[in-house]
Amino acid sequence: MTDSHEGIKVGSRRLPSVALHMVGLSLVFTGGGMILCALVDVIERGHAFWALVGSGIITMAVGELTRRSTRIPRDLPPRSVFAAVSVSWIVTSVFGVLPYMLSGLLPAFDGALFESISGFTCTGSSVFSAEDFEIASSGVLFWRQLTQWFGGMGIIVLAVAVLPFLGVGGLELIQAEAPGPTSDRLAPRVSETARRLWIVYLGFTVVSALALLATGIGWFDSTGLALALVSTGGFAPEAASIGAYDSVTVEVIVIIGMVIGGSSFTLLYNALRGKPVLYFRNSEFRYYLGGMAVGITAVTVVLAANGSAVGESLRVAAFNVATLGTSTGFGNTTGTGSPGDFTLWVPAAQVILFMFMWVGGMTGSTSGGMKVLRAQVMGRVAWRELRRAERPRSVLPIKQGDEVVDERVVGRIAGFVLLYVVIVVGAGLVLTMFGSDLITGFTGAVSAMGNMGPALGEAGPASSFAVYSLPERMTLVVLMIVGRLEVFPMVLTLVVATRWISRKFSAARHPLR
Amino acid sequence: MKVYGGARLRTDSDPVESLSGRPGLESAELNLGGLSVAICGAGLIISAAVDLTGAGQDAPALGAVGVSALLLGLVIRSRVRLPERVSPRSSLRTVGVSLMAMIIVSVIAYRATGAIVAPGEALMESTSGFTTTALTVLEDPQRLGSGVLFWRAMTQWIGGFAALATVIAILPFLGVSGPTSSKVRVPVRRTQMSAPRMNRLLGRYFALYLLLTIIGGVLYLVGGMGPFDATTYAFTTVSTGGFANHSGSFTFFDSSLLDWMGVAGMFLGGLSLAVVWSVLRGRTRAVLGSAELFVYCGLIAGATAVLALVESPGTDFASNVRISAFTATSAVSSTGHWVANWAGWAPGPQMMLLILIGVGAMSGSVGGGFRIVRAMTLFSYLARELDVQLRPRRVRVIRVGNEVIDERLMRRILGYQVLYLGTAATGFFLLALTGTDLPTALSGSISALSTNGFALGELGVGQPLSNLGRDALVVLLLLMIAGRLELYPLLDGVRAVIGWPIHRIRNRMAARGSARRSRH
Repeated sequence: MTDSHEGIKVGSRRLPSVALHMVGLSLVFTGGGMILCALVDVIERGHAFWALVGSGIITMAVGELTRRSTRIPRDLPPRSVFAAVSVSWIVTSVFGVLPYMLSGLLPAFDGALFESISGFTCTGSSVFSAEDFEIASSGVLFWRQLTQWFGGMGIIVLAVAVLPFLGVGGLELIQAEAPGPTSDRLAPRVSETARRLWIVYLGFTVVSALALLATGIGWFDSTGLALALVSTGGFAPEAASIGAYDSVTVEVIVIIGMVIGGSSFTLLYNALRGKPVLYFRNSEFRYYLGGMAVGITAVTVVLAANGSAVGESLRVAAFNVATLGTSTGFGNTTGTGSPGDFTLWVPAAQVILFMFMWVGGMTGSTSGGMKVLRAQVMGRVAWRELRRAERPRSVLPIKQGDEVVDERVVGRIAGFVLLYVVIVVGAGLVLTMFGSDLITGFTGAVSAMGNMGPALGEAGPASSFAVYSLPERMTLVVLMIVGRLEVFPMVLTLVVATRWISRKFSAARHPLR
Repeated sequence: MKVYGGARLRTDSDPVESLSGRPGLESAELNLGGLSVAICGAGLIISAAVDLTGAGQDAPALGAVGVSALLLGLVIRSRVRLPERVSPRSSLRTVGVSLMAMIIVSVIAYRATGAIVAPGEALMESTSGFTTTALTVLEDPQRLGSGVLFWRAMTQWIGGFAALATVIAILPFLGVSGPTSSKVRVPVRRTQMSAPRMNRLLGRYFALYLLLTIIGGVLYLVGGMGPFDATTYAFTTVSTGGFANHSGSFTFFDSSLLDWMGVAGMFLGGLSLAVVWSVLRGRTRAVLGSAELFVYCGLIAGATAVLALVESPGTDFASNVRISAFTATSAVSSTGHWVANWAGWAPGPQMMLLILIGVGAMSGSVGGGFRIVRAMTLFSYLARELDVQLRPRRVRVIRVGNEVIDERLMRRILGYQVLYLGTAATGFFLLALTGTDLPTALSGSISALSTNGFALGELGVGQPLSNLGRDALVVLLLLMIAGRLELYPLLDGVRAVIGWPIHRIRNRMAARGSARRSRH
């Protein structure tokens, strides 16, 4: 609270900008994360200690300076909230390139930026080659995992949780920084809600790491995987992703972790409070789980009907449907021609995965995609439309579980889905114009927008996103951030910026107006 | 006929009806199905007459099928009355039945003449014809006699107008005809329209359609086609069908003048007939103010420019522009005539053409696809959604051009969008399930749904359909029908099939639940 008073007192000297203030806060936290990675590097006897410490100090210093020279203005119109979230994500991702570049692993800015944004947005598409994993220092690999963990629950949510003075605008900021918590409040106070979410998140990470440790894959890999698992990120500390362990036990733990990570954290919180039954009372969760069960069955049947062994089909089907149904994006390929490489599957099985790439996980989870809830509502809108064909004047409310969904909410969801589709198709056009083939380009756009990781075509799980050319990768990077922030913040920031520029221009042309 | 939107379904036992004194059956399905059969019969008889001007070997078969179809249709129509009121579900069924009837007549005609003997192939060719899709099983149409070729072109011509009439007259309660552009709108959204008025409206539309066809024919004659080719190509162009008498489509003529005539013809086909009507009435101002027309022209011009610059399909500037314009117009108007194999082009232009094919032609035209005006409405909706996020208390209407879109209509279009995407996605999956590769499946689904036909991969222009398996053809066939009939008739059938058991189970569970509650 003192900080807040101070902010108002010296308001005349501090720049009132919520965007810059959030940038500063985010950088302080990410800088701290880099220092942590430096420690990991020491323990694992890596060779990137000074690079990580250096990045950490630079990031924290810039962050602290920005934070101190700005303050949060008293009123927060929606546009500045959206702008704050967008800008802080972009700037944080840009600073996230420092460990990659300073350690010399990815010396080019564009490659490092792709890796950084892919990490923070929990996408998990990588430009790393197999050699990069061998020469990479452990600390940098840990940083790669940690970016996803930051991005999964959201840096701003973290800021709100740790710094209660954010108070008033906190809820708007959190809501704008979607996948994290939705409007479900776990506690009356926003900061308390954010704190509880982060505690659940942290606890879930620790439990996953311990479970993975018990399989004997070593503390570094299990911690790294756990960070990517709960955030539904998709980076793995090994070049062959989960396929490197070639172990059913690890796969099962990973699947369970991903499924929980892709489901609502409110439900997880309630389950930990002793009400696990709420999971199954939730219509979205039932569809989420049921959809994946249907998908796994369908893929297994299709693969088995085309001559694969049933057990092997089930294994790769379960893993890949879960990894795309939760927007994680791990791979379980064990070499060229491995059954886990779904780009080699028969077309029908690939199309099933493609559908999962659109939808992603549940609302209020760390996953990406359009979200099961929205898909459910849109499905019901379509069904209602068909019923109306028979009885044009009937009034048919849309129900979600036992509750009637307000028509305005339905309209907003329809708008979201429409915008999502338009952006994906538009980006697909841009990617193919840059030279990707139709399938690689289009599915790459779907994958990046949904924060999935692998795509179909040439960018499958056994390949890397280095197959895309530089302009294509930059397009994908933009899509990742747009998708991670659930479309509206970035698009609205763009709209506001365009309007502002055009106003300035018209003011310059007609100075007397 | 009068269409109403209420929930009253019973008509045959209506006391007023039984007092009207006319005995016999009452059924919209049979009556209009009979009409469709009769129309096909007439078309076949004309084709037989055309055949007589040529070799004449198919004339007896065509004539026999034609006369019997005509008689059958007329007999059905004389026996079965059109009900005063038709329930929405019955109108959906009517549309389906009529299309089926026409397809069956055509299949019989193809088999009777020996032109296409395999039943599956005849079915594909007929469906493709009546849905105005360009997919053909014939590798060399020239081997057919002139009568059969004429009939083949005619199926598309009939199909194009039938689809338009369906939207205007039979399914207006769906609101799927959508908003047409301001002022040039013919009142198609009214749910209550008297039969004479509807007949007058349809007559006017038919006259316009005929006029466009004649213009197309004259263009082709001027361009250097013979009278037979000019007529058939006019049929398949103005109806946005895309069947060609030659295996090379427009490449056969190798004439840049004819290519440009083709561009003009396809442009007319994708044009809203309401716009044509306004032009004839001299309301140029209203035409120029039509936002949809503006976007239609803009899409074609923009796509032409992009294709000419990015793909440069020709050898020099003129041929670049010509081939680009032809391909772009063919895609936007959902026709399917071609002068270049765009399946071999770069991925970017391919993707752009697929998007254009998906969007399709103007509403109120005979073209297919999602329709430009719907896409515009969705964009307008999106603009409002973005605005509302920034200024939550603002109230803003959705406009297309100058017309304000009713909120309820808006919701229907949002629903339609989901149905359209869902159908395309299902088609994509089913095609992939039959074993076609991903590009073919994705593009084929979109293209068949918007009744264009040609796509990428194995569905590229000029590729024989025999490359695809029978299952894939069945999927394409269903997609073509769904797309041509504005989805609803087919999807409603599917819904009835799926929904019935679900409904039963739900009812039973509800009954069991209430029984248990009453026991307690």
